[in-house]
Amino acid sequence: MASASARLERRSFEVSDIGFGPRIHLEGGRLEVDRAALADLVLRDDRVTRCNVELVSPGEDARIVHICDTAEPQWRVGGGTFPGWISPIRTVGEGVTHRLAGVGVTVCCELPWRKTGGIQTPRENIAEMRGPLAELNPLSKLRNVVLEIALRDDLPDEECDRAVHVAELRVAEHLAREATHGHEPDTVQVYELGGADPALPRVVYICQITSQGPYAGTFYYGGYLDRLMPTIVHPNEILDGALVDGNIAGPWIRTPTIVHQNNPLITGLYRDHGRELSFAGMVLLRGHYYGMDDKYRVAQEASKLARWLRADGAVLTWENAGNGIMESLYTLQECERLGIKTVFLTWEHGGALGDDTPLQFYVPEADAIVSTGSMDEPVVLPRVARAIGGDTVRLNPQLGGERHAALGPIELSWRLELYGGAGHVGETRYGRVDV
Amino acid sequence: MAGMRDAVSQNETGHGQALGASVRVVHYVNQFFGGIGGEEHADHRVEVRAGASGPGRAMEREWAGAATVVATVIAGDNHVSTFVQEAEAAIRSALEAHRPDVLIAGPAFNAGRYGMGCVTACRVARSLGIASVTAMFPTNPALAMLESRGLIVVPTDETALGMPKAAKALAQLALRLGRGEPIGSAAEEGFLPRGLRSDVWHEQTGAERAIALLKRKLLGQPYRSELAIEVFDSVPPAPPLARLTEARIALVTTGGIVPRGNPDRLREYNSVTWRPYSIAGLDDLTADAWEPIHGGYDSTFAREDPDRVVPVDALRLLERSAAFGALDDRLYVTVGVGTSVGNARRFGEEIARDLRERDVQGVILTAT
Amino acid sequence: MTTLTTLATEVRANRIVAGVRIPHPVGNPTLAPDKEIALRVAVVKRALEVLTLRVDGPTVFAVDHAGAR
Repeated sequence: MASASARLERRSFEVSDIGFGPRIHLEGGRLEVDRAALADLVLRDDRVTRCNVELVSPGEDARIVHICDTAEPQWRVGGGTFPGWISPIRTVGEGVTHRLAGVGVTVCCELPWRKTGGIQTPRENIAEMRGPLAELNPLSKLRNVVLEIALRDDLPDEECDRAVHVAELRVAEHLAREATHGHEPDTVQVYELGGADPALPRVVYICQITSQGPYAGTFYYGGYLDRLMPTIVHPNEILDGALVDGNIAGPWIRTPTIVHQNNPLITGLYRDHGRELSFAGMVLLRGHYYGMDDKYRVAQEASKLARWLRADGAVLTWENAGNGIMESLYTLQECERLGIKTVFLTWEHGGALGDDTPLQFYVPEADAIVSTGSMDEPVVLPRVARAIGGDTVRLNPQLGGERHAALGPIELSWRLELYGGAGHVGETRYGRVDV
Repeated sequence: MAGMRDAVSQNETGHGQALGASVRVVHYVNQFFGGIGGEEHADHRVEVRAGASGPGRAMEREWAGAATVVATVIAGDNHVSTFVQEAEAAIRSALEAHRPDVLIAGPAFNAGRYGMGCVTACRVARSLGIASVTAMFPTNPALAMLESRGLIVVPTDETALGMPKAAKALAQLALRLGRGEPIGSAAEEGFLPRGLRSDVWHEQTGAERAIALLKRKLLGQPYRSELAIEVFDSVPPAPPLARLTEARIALVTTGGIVPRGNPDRLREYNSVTWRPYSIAGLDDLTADAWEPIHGGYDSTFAREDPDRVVPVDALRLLERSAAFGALDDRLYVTVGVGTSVGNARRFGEEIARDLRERDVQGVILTAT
Repeated sequence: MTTLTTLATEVRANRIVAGVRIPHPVGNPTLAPDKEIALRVAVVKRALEVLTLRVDGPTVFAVDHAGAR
């Protein structure tokens, strides 16, 4: 009988410098990548018609545009890396996994805008490598391997939606494997639940992702959560590649894959596990159901699962925007009614000046909220020396799309187009407070 | 004319203060505290008197020369709450003439109309770049108004029995504001949370703060939310339609259905405007002539048939069968997602005014 | 008319008629066209009726029609 305990050993290989070289090689913190070999790897997928590889490092006077997603180089030594994508669908989260810490593989592609708006539009995702807002995207601190790709123009949206991720994940796995195979890691971290003093309070992490169709959902083992009920997952699965972020439609309001792979609520709860609390597990659900009844159903289901995990407390996060907040707040409400103490982590609106209503929905039980700040302020992105991913950015799909030079300056009416800024799982230091 | 003041650097509140010069205060009060009379004088129009009146004198004693009430602006409670624009204009003239370092309004305690007057006076001051502070009971109805957002409001007792305490607190805070001194947050200074939030870079990440907050909650320790829940103000329901068969009905939508090509360039999120479109003579909305531009829902279904969001076809059928009087020619359109409450309120007021002019009696508003 | 009846209640809309689904509050693409228009007429008729009713505060009215669920 299989043990109920899953032990994940993450071996981290630190990268502090990156450059092109004749082969993939990591030594003394410097990663060399074989530019042509990586491009060939991507082009094996006949949905991809063009691939150019660029490198971008922290502090450069640069911005990356047309971002589709970012993955951390990761290799499960026993096989099955990125299940549902480049490996068969098998549960991950135990065994030995190697990661290149400090590196991100980002795929950039100008996807077709076939509709004049609606939620399933692959909007412009922009990341600044320097400047006051750079800290809010995951790329500004990483050595970035950027794949600039083009896809066949006869692909439907659902195919495009998959092709871009296959490209980044294939490269991410390849880099991790080739660079670290047979080498000793810099650090090793073991993730295992259980074994905590039963007197410690048990904490469950209730993680809500979204699922609203092509370009607007988070993939779980390579598939959308559309028809799947809220479920218990092991936090190791999230660290080990079970979630891939498909939310190209909402640049600010998404959780890039690399952020899931390093989810700070998971690593943070693990840090306190056995000392100040007992990390009891995770509940995963989707939000943005189209009817009230389904919102109530998943709230009951998710809170019920937290109860069965014997939670004393729960941290709740959600992603994307709009009515999805209702599922998480109804879940929170039901948890509090069950005696489970809750903390809700969310971004807010509140207007550019902070004088408007912050959230679009409330429940009275939400009395402990952590805010990851607002996207409402307009911003002008300055002129930069280098733009990777494309020459132009496209804004305003509801006007058929308007192009501006990617080098800038770029005027944005609010921060929606800035990649990953909402800090959905608490990965940033940004916030708002009452004054 | 502005009084003697050295030309020192002006900060955002517009007032530098030379050493030794007394802070200049304009004080707004109602007819009672201005010494004119009681409720029978509630229609008193805005009047400006030199020097301090009523509670202003108590404040001057508190300041002992550090600040002076150069003028008192008095307005009747009815006047200021009924003829808002006229009162605003008069208050503006007074402030422009006296150019104080700070405006003090009240204390209004729990008097709603007086509270509204204080809010109005402070808003005028703010629009002129003049620091302002008011004081009232925390549940004064004036504070439920969106207009009071962002103002500095010192909490008082419910009645004027709390005057000595209120006057002192107001005087102390006003002096610092008038001097251009930096003011801490509501929690630090003791004034009411003002519905104003400011961007901040914390020392810790959101995840670290969330875990720390949960631990405090689990241990039964005191904890504070970074965001307080809000309650929206109630709107008195319009009386029911007496005669539906004679009623003119209009359609309004936040679902973003616009003429194809989005000729007025409405935004897909975060609307700053609304537009009326003619549906005169139309039996339904067709996909070749109309399209959804709202960025926050899956537009596939509305694209196929815009009536699924704006039910023109159903209303025409019902109009023809005399279920109601007439469908107005105007369809009012905006996009709801990501739109600020402040803008939404403005849209509502503007659309309502238009509906009134067109003699519309009932509205069907569809939202996605 | 909205699917998000609790949200409408919270922002203090007074007369609220429950919509079908978020992307089609007054439609149902799973129905045949003639059934769909019948549904739309039914929900809109309900909305008109609600305009003639007295309410004291935010009140949610459901529509009694199979296609509306």
